[in-house]
Amino acid sequence: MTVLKNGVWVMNSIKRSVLLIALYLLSISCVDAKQHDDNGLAVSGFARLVGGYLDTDKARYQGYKNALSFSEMSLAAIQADYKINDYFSASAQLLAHSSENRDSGIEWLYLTFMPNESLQFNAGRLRTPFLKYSDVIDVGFAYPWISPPQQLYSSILFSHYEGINARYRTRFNDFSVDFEAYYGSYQDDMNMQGVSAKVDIDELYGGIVEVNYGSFQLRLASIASQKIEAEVDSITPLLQGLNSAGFSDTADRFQINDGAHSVLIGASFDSLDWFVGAEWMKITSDIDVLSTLDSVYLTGGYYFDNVLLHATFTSSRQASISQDNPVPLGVSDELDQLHFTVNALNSFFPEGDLDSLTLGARWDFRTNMAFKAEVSLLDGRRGASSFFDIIEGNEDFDRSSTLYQFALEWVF
Amino acid sequence: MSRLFHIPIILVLIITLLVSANSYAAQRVVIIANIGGEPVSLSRSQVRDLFMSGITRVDEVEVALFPVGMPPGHMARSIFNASVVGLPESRIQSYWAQMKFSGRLKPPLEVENVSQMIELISTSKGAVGYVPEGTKLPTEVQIIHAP
Repeated sequence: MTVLKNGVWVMNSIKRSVLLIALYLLSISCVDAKQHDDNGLAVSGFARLVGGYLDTDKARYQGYKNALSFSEMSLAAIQADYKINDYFSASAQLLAHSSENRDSGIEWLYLTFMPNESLQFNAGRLRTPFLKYSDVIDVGFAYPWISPPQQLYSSILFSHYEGINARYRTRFNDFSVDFEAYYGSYQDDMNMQGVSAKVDIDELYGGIVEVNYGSFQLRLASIASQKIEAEVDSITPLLQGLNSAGFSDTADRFQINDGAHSVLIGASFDSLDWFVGAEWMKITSDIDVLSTLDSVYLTGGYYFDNVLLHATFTSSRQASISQDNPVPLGVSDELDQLHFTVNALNSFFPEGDLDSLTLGARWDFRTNMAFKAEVSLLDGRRGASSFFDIIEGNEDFDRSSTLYQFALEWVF
Repeated sequence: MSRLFHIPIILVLIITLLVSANSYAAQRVVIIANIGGEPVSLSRSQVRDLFMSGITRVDEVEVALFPVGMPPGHMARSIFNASVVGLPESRIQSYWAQMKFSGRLKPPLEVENVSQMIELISTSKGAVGYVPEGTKLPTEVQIIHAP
């Protein structure tokens, strides 16, 4: 098993290295192409080098542990946009990610149709636009933080989809308004607070309304799916055991096979020397083990010339998962074992209660490069997963820790 | 002794900062366009939406507009950022990274200097740009906004 795991890891490392080299060669050979801004091929890209350290040995957070690591969030990507004619263009984004939990490869691949300048249709593999920065989560240069508030940004239901979207942009007096709607499917591995699952969604859909008035922005977004089917490999045998012992109602409770939806309200104000912003998100689900999650962040920052200092407070609360256990204890050894299985399942699914305060600085030392440093004080709830990945044997961990990160962000 | 020695240096620094801030504020840019016909006046938010949101149609003008900017670091661009866009350069750059890599919008075309700006605007119908106030303009170019 370990040999197999190591083998897969080595293969992934090789794949990533090859991809990185390919990206590098492509970026060198395409410098000329980049000069032509409008016709034919335009190549651009982005990269980030992120180092981080978590000050506890009892848990991991975003993959970080108490040793300096550069391989959780570092990445490089290249984007090619090909203008076919005045109405059609094609875009592809190839990404190499340093983390074992993220696939490297084609991140975006779509065709764009613009019948006029206020209307745009995209079709293909797209990233889901939900939170303010969720479709550019890999482009660290686009936002102030190193790690956007995890209670929201790591909890969005689906990061990408295959399908279509439509955008319409218009002006009413001094208001500019964007409407966006999308529809598609999703088949991929999903990782929610350390629990990974194979997810299959035939239909997902959502919409966004964004109103801008001067420097003030209001965003409303929603995403929904009537039926999410997910298989969590690590619990399948346990569920089979429950079913064969006649506790199928209990087994059903741990099945992921129902609908979920999520809503978002965001607001921000930007000025020449400061900004404030907030996003509030609520996930509601008919799936017992994917219970309601409420999260919100408030952020603010001040610019001292090219240096931005910012602070963000984030909080999330998740409704508790039922701790019912109908399997009697003390009847037989087999039933005792099943009883403990249900206890284990009850505590297997995440409960994302976490408050955090992030203090950070961003220095744009060149127009396309920024250096960032960030400290996140994390305060979760004992007994809940609180977005931590608890290392076995440390269940008593108090769920409070500090994450230190620094990053170099680059766009070209 | 050494501490006293610092005071004049700090004073000079503060005065330099104040003076430079003042001279910066004294400079202005005007928004210029090649749209022919009658004189037209656009609001600040119309100009901002043209440069930042790609809203190229306005009721006042028949042709579609297209924005032309100066490169980052150019004095006229800094003044335009402050007086029309209302955002610092670093925020504008991160905004364009977001728009570009999410397939939404591309930043305006950029020219290198004022003479290139005048040249491009005067030869392209619908082109909108900005130059320092007082720049001599050819007859086909008009001022459509003075922040």
